[in-house]
Amino acid sequence: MTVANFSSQISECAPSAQIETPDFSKTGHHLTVTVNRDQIAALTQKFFDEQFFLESLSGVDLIENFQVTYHFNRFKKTERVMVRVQVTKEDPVVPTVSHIFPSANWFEREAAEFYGMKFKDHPNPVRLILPEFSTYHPLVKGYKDEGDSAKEVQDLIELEEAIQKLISPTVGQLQTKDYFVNMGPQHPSTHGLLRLLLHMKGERILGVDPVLGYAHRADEKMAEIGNYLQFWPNTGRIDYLCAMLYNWGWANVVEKSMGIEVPERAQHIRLIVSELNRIASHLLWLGTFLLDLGAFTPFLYTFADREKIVDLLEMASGERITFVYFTFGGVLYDVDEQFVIQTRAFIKEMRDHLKDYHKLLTKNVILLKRTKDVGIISKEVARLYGATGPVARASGVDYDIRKAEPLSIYTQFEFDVPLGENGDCYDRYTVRMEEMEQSLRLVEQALDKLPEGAFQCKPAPKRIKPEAGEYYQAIEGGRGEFGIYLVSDGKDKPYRVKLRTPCFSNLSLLSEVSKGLTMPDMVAILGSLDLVIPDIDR
Amino acid sequence: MWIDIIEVLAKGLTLVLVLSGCAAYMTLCERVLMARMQLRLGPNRTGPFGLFQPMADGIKLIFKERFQPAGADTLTYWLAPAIAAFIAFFAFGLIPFGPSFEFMGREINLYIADVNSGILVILAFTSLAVYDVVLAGWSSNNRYSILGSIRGTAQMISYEIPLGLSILSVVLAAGTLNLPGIVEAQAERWFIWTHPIAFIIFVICSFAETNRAPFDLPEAEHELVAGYHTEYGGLKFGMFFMAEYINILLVSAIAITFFLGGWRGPGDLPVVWFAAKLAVFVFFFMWVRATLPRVRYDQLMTFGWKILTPIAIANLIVTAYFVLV
Repeated sequence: MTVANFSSQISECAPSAQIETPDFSKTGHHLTVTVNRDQIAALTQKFFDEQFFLESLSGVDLIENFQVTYHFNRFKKTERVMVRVQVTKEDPVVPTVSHIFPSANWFEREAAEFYGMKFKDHPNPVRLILPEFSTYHPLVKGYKDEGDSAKEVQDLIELEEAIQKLISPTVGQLQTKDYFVNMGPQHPSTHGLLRLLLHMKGERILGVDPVLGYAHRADEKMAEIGNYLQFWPNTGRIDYLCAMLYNWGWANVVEKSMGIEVPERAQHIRLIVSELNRIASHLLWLGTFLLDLGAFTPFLYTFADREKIVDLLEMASGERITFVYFTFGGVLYDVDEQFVIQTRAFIKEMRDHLKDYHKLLTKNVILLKRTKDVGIISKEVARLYGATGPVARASGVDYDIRKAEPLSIYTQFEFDVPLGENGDCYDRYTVRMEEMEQSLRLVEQALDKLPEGAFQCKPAPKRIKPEAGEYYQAIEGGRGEFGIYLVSDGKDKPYRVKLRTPCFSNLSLLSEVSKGLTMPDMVAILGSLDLVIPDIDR
Repeated sequence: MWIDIIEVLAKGLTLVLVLSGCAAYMTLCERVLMARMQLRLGPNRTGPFGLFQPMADGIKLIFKERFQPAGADTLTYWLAPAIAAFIAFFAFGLIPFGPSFEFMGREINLYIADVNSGILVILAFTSLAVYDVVLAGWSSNNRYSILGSIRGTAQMISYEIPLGLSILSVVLAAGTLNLPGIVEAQAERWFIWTHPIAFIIFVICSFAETNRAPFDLPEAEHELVAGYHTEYGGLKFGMFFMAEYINILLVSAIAITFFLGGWRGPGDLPVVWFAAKLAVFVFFFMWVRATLPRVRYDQLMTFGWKILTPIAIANLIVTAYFVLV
């Protein structure tokens, strides 16, 4: 069943729905649906039954109204449907869909705190990213910092207490059997400012509650304040480990919305640096994952390899981590002959090193014991929580945007999408190891085909002003789908930018998979999810 | 009488000084060795080849602020590191480093105490090492600490059983509990050749007993921050640190005494041979740390109780049969 004939079914369960079929190559949507808020739950249930997953959920302030935008998508081959629900500012209440898609739980909390909306029957309507008792809603247009209102703070405190009582009835009493441990925000294995509130009994974990927001920098607000060009540096700092790919995400959405053609050479260069960056990101993951498992040495070996990639990328872009190398319609600088030669040398060397890693690690008894059958994420859980990237692929979900979209020139090259079977930590390990090989293959092919020509489109686009409208484009980041939902009002500043980041969704399934496991398993799972904290908090 | 006391004091003082120096330079050794295994250089700035690094570290630890977390139990919090260091030093008094020799007309033995049932005393004292872990973890009023100390207690108690059993088979073969006597019994053949299984079990258990990788669960950095000594800083931490390294020396010394012929070796160089064997053992400890990931707590316990202990018991029964027949 394709999306095109899906529209009759949509109008069946939501009679008042207005359905449009926009240009996919421009907007990234196959279908857009506008419904009343009382029909959203039924419609979401329909999407759930049809094997969609909730890709993203974002709030938009339309001055007179609030809009909640749902993006549904299907694995394997992209079939993206955008659903809009508009509510008035006097009564900003939308029924929750978190009982259908648990991934909506965090998305809705985020939209609620940034816009002051309310999601009816939400199981846990407390602040997610902003401070617990904050009452300001920074993404509302015309927001001015006026401090917290005492009344609302009091309400929030009461709400928090009521929820705490609901979650654990023993709060406030002397606890002798189970206890809470704060893992983070400063903990060696959270690799950043992530706080996990662990409810434990001895070494066993009864529940996990991630507390986010320690690295929240309001990238979405910054996007609205500056113009399209001024958002470039932010893209390199969201997931700072694959900044090139996130550069590409921003380039992708703006170029497609404006119809900017990218020259062949620029596309090849983009692919080469992005895949190199993906290898660098996976190498860093490999080192830190094993570091979490207590093996210190691999960390330094993978870093030595990563260093070579960083050197290559420095040759191309002049930067080493938080790249701003892409520009609308191409890349900022051309690559020279030396870059090509050295990259070829690196590919050869890296293949040998990957063999060494396999030899030393893949069959290591302790590694197998620590990762096999630990933290199993089933295919269904991956769909429910919107997990993407290697985490989902390890569970057997065949979803790689490089294949599913198709993105840029990836269709011209041969590469496989490695899949796991069990979805345990070991599968996530093997999938990432295999992905490095595939990325090397891609880089090699792109180097062979690297055409001569311009590395920027000519004439360069002078005024970046996408037409008024809504756009969603995604790329395959190192950790999963990085999607940008862009609302443009035709001016030179983005009206709304929602960053759908992979780590946010991948982390949300943590409490689902970690129940009943032990503390060391928890560390193994965290390592295998490959979290980047600014990617979660944005 | 007086001369005896002076002799014991002199030997004791020498031992403490030598051991402290060894522990200090083991840290440097480990850092440099691990660095070389990890594509790094290690400390090489302080003095020639970084040789003054341990002193700099020591001075730094001494001059750190005396810190105590809120809610800590003052007495036990300060007592725990002292216990750790004391026990580590004490057990060394029984290890024979070499044969006795004549010095100014007196026969000097290269050990401090010649206890009849020497190995029992050593085992008793290493068992006491559990106390510093428990008290440190409990008194610092931190959940990571208490988790670390619970792990440490369970681990050390569990692994003492196969450790004791593996030593017992050697004792059966030697027919004595006295350490110089056991070295004497290996004059012809080292016990590692006759008791290889016991040796392997002993080595595995010694990793668990000293909380070293891959069994460094009580202080597993990426799970428990630093385990039972999370809340310790300055010289208190330094004492735990020193105790850890002296414990490595201790288990290595026991292994050498029991399985590798003690100070025996070709040529008449008893103390040199002892030191050389010790160095090999210590190198092995560091090598393993640079190589292996950490096992999980429940897997460690399963391994200890379900695999090591039965093998150790079977090995003991077989040894007993051969000794008897």
